[in-house]
Amino acid sequence: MPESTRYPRKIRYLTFFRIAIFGLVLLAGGGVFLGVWYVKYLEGVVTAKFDGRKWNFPAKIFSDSYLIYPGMSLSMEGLEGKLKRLGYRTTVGRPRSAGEYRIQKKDGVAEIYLHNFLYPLTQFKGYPVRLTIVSNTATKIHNMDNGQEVFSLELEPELVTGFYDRVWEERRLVTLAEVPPLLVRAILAIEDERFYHHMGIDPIAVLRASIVNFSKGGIVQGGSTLTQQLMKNFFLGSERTIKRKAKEAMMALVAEWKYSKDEILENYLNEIYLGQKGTQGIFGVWEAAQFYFAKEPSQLDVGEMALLAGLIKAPNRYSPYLSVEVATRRRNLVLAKMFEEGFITRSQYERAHRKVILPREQVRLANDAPFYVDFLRKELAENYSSEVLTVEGLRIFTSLDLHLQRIAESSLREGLKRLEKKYKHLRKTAENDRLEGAIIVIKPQTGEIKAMVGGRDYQKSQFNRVVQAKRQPGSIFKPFVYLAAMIYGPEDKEETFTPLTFVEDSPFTWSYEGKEWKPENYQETYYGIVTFRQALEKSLNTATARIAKRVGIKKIRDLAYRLGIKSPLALLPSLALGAVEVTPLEIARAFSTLANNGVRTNLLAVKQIIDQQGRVLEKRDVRVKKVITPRVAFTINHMLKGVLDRGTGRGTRWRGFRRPAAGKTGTTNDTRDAWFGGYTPDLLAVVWVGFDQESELGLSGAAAALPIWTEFMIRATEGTPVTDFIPPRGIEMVEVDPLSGYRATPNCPQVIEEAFFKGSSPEDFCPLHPAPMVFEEAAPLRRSGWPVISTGR
Amino acid sequence: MLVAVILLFMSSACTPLFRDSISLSRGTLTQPGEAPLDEAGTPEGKAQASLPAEASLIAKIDSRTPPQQAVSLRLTEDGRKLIDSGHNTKALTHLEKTLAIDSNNPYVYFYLAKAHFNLAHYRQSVDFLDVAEARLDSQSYWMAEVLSLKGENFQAMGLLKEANHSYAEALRFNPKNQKAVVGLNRVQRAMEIPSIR
Repeated sequence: MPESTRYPRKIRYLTFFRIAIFGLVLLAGGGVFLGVWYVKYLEGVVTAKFDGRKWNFPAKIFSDSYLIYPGMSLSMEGLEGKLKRLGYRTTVGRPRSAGEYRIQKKDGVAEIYLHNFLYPLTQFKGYPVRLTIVSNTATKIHNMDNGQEVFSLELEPELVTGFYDRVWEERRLVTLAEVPPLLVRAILAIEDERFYHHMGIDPIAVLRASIVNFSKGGIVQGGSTLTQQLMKNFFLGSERTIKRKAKEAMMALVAEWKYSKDEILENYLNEIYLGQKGTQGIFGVWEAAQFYFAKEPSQLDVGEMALLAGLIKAPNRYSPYLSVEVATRRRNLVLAKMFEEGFITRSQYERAHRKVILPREQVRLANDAPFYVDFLRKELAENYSSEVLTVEGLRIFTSLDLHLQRIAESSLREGLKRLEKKYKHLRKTAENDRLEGAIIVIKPQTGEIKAMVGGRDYQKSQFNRVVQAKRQPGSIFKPFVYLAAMIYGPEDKEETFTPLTFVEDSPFTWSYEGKEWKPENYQETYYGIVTFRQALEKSLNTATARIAKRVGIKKIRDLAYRLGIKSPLALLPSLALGAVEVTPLEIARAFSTLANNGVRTNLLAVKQIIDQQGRVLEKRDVRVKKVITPRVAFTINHMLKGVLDRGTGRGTRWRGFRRPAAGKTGTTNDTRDAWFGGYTPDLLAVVWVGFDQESELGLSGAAAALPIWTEFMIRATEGTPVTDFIPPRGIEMVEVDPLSGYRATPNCPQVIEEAFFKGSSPEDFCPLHPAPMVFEEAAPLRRSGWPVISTGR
Repeated sequence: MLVAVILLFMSSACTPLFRDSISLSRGTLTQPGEAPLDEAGTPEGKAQASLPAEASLIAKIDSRTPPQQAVSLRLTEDGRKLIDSGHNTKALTHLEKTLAIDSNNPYVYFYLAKAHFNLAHYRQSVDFLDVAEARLDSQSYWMAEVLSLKGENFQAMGLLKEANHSYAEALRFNPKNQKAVVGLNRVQRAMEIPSIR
């Protein structure tokens, strides 16, 4: 072959070779460049997490606390139920650490080691108490440490719910120094025994796991280090793919390069998932120590540490709440490892091994009161963004009473069902037109909202009728007319109206601004001349309208505002009969002023807000304002007691509610709204029933709302002290004949005790039923009510 | 000398949170194991003795006192101790809880007013005193206390005429009420001084 053809082939090989080398170098260089870039990217991700906000801490909503004192009504069952809801655990022997209790039913004794609790301004340290209960009454409370008598005992508030983004991670941060070294060693021993020797990934562990998995034909053992687990929890999902594992490994290497072993370990101890409590996930060793043992990590014993360490692999499988046997086996495995590694002595091992894990009940988070929580959320939104509420770990203390809330919810739910069963026309099939209702419960002295139910089923409709539904109050507005009458008297002359002032109950025309209004009574029944009391007790429209005309609509309206109504009220005659639109909340606030002896309070749901460190961010004070005098308030309350005893509200009595209480039914002219508002001196509740689409209910307040109110109040006041409205100074109680309006004689068939401002009570005795007269000399023999004839001797 | 000063400073600066803990479950201001103390550190009996008889709420408790009323009075007394020891904000929280227990306890309104006054919430203090006044009107000692505190509030708000009236009324109920005597003198002197322009 000629030389000229062989030379070009050689050159072609050389050129190809050079190009290939160049290509390889380029590829390698590109790879290195990409690799470096990717590592840098991962470094940025890891440092952003480590140095920035790692976790979100949802705000927690707490109910009101619960006070126990000697002499109060309390059943052992009720107490135990409360303790369980608060996460207390029963113990066989005397309670020795916070969160334990023992009940000795035979002796009527409950021993409770109180939880530590972070109240606003106070870090309460728990101590053991002995509570004696005899015949469902708490009789004595003693401090078990020193035997001293305790005059009152406050059980901490219940956790109602939290404001969280998507997942509720319950966690409290600890430093590595706050975690007992033995717990750390136990965790390392079982999860990553070579933690301090590897660089983030452990090839030996990977190799071992691979051999085991290969021999078992599946993935039964992991070779991940603590660092890898942390990276997975921080950044990655749980899918078992090579890509994810590779990324996890690289991030672990980056983390180990950037941060110390202790920093990584500390983050791990705060990050790990260790169980579930309803919607709450339990994360971190501090929270887990509280959840499983009601202790801080530093208080855990050897066995408890072993149990916690063992949970990490599968918290829900090894949880003592699920299976004591499985939890015990896992704990013992960890104990064996701890002993094998020389962390614990033989005697420690044997003692911990012998300790029996008691079965325990998973306490469901209250998670009740969805309408109340929604109301809170809206209130808080004024000052706190959604982000702050879901990440800053605020603790929000409210006035919610979960016991009353549960009663309110069930009373409304069952009450509406009973109405639908009894009255067929109330059964609607359309989802958005079912019979609905609302209840609000208030403590009059403080304005605290103790319970709120905005509808029969929150899942179906979140519309909160307590605060959002503007409905006509109808005759539940009438007390404000009578109240204005007592305060101002008539516009046209100087006169004091009393409950026994007479008024005509008959049709009439009220002319105003060129128009006419003709009020009518229910079923067009008229009673002629009646007293103010009778008109209010029977809820007579025309009598009330006549009174309103004499007093003046403006005064009535302004008084309603002073009592707590905020919706605009038109200055029309029909205002007297409640032809305006207000919410149940407003009616409750106004009635609460009456219940509180004429003192208006600001309604309170949020009481205090503190941050994670216990610093008070906000305190909402109880605010009071005297708006009417106590004697006027007492007079109207006394009249409204008559509504329950003799009037349209008497259904409360034959349904079994016997306590002294005042109240008023409310029915609108078109029977689209049914109301009942009533109160004792200590508790007020307002109930509304109707349709959202304003279909006709066809029922009065007495038929529709009163039964629900009665059931609620009977259950809510059970076991509480009976209280009554006390006549203040300036009030005179006089026995009178309600028919004549005069002082009663022994011959009067009906006698009631009436309240009068001092100096305005009738002086004369009843002329309709005169009593025998006696001469003055025989006066000592006469009975009360017998007139005396003076002989002038 | 320097060491002594530092030690003195440290001992007065150290106020452990638990020692100030006054949650209702205690009933008193003390740690478990200690006798009930007042703010001066003397046993409860002695502290009660230093108050006039009418002022003692514990003295109003006997075997016939309904349990709800008894616990309300005790807790109000705890609130008084908190105020006297300068813990006005804690006192407010404590007394607001106490208010819910017995609707007929008028004293808690007075002490709420006092705590608010100490925190310079004068308007709120007067509101509570209005309520207290209506409920205590049959007790001369307490009416004098209520009205003299009202006078202090009005004076703090610069309402000298109202303060003058309140102090005078207080002395009508109890001529020996020192706060009213001093307050009235002060207000009357202030009212005589012409304003400086």
